[in-house]
Amino acid sequence: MRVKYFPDTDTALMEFTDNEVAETREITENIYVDLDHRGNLVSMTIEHARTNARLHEFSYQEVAGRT
Amino acid sequence: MRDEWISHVVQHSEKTEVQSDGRVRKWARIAETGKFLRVILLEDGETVHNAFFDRSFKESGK
Repeated sequence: MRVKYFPDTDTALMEFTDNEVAETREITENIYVDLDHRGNLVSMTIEHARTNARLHEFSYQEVAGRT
Repeated sequence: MRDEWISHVVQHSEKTEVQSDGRVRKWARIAETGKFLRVILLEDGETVHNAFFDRSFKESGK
């Protein structure tokens, strides 16, 4: 997974795979998802990411299960 | 995505809407593909920000 941020337009692009995009769906005016021909998530675009996604707080956390 | 398709939408849009953030969305059918292309312009109404084939536009018949 890669996260790209374009500060000039405050756009965040989350890339999950390198599959070819077959369809783009609008979730809201500021959120779009790109799907491949099988319906798998390829990428997600978040507009106005600073306010809509708290991008400056981005982090990754792996939560351990029960052992 | 071809540049000429985007130019076609900008210059010959079949529908135009202004988003709540001031950005402008335009649609037009691309003859070669038979699909409707949505182009989003920034608030200046000129700078192309995004473009993608919009299946929902076709299905809704807007």
